[in-house]
Amino acid sequence: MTRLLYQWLLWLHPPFFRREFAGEMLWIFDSSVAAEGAPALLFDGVASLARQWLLRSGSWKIAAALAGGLVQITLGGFGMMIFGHRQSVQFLVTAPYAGVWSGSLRSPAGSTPVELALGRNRGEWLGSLVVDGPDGRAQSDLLDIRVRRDLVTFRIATPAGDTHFHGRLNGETLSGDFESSGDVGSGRWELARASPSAVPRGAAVATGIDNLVAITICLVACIILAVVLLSLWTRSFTHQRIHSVR
Amino acid sequence: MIEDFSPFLPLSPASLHILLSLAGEDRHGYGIMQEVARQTDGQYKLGPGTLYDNLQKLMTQGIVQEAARKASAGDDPRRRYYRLTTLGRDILGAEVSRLEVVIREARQHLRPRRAT
Repeated sequence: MTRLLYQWLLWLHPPFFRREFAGEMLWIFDSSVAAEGAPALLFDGVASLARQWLLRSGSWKIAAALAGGLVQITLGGFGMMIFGHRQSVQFLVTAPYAGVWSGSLRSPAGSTPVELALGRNRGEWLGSLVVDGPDGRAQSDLLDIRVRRDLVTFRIATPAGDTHFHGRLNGETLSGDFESSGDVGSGRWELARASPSAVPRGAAVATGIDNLVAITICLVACIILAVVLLSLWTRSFTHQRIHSVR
Repeated sequence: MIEDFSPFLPLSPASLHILLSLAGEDRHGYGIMQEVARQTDGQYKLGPGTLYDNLQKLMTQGIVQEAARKASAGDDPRRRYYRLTTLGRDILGAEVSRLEVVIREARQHLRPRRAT
């Protein structure tokens, strides 16, 4: 049993060292286990394993760098899956903006009820703004939507001119200023989330896609990590050559 | 011409004992371990992992090389023999000279002081 364990420890050594010395080390184990005792030899084997991988083999640097990067991606992906609907984590996607928001536009002319729909599809933000004005409901597509952390900007184009919106997400409210080049003037807009699920057509699957992307990235990262570690395991990155007489 | 062995010195305890064990004759790995234990009255024991880690380094530096197999009955084919190279012998000599200076200095300073 202890011989098998020692053999396994030797097999775990870097390939170059294993090829050169594993046979001899096993022979020494066979010859000295009665005198030295198995625990001492096993401990020496574990220490040798750590020494060879951590100090003698340069491959640990590559593995550590790749593992660090992939762990970051993986944790970020899992973080997105767990906290994706909260504004605290916006690593891969900014899903908290997705949904329907209702509130009003306030200007010196008065207050106008509005409904904003925002969503993402294939990485692209899209949405619409419905203004419930005195002349009835008017719907405009959102243009040039930019989302950066808790800030969002977009514009709508109307026959009277463009209106630019700048807002900030704060929990379940979205508020900011708007400025129009037409006769609408400028003012503030304040919206509260009406429904997180009723996102506009074409963007209804945005959150689902975000999660799918996160899961895919996690899986790909895990597979790459496994492949890299496996390749490091079977290949020797050291270029040392022992000049010995065979 | 006096060669400068300072890049190799001081030797680690394990390397020093391995070179010392090979100074008399070629030995296989287990033989080196036994010889080191004998030379130190069992106070310093090399494990196989430490031994081959050091042997690998010493061979890369050209201080030790693998020797031709000794033909003897019942010799395990897994055994490989190692020997000191000329460079290795010179380095061991330089290390012993360095240690002699250390010991001389130590004896001089550790000598009991006479009461005045």
